[in-house]
Amino acid sequence: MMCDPRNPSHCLQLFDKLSEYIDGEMEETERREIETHIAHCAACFGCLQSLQRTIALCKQAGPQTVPAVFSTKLQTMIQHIRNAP
Amino acid sequence: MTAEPDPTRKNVLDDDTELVQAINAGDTQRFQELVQRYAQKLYTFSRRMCRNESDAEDLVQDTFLNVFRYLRDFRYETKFKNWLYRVAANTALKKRRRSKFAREPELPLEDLIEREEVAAPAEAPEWARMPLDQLLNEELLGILHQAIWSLPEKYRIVVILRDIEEFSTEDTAQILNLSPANVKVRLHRARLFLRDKLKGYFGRDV
Repeated sequence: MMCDPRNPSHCLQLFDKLSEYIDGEMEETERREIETHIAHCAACFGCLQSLQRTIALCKQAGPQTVPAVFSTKLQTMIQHIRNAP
Repeated sequence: MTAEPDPTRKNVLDDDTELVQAINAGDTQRFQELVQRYAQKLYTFSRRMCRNESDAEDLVQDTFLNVFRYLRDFRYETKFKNWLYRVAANTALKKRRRSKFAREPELPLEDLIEREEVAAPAEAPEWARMPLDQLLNEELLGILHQAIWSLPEKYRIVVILRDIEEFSTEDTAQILNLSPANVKVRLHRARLFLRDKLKGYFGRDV
């Protein structure tokens, strides 16, 4: 991938790989190419930051507390299936 | 035909192995312990999968019911947690297949890319730059939950496993019986979809 910050098709190629880059699941050469590109392309850098923020927000979307009523219901069900012949 | 056991295969031992072995050896009293260990995790998974609270509760119950029923079939070939989530994922996906909304839309990448966004230089939006704790509030979490529920199921389940439950790509692929490449494609599209929804909430900028 040649770095050309003014070429939208290059940006589109990069866009496809941003998640792999964020997750650190990319070959070293490819990673360096992306870093070179985003250092010169404000649009792609913006995309990267908003995608990273989206992922960080997702990590805040759990955990969920089990309601006490449901917890009791679950225990009753488990007792029932354990006692079933 | 009965499959021959592979003598070269090693059992995967983890924090659940002793408990699962005890239950499978007949100590079913300890199934309660397994439920206590995973109830909250499975409830979180189910609440993110199902918009409706009672559907989520049904999913947790059906998952534990299936785990109880099929625990003897667990071969210790994977981490127990992966097997448990596989049961949960299959239970969730079967419920969907039975529903009248069984056909699911795709998320084509081109629909998730705004060409003007990549063509024009732009700054990172303010919501992507400000500290997370200043950004987070109940309303935003509500918007995010709605966005996750509005994802087609095959994308939703991947983003839940990867970004909420924090399974690795390999573990997610194992749970969903997909290739790691397929997990990556679905995850990227799901994230772009969620990013679009967040952009809509914060408005205008990137």
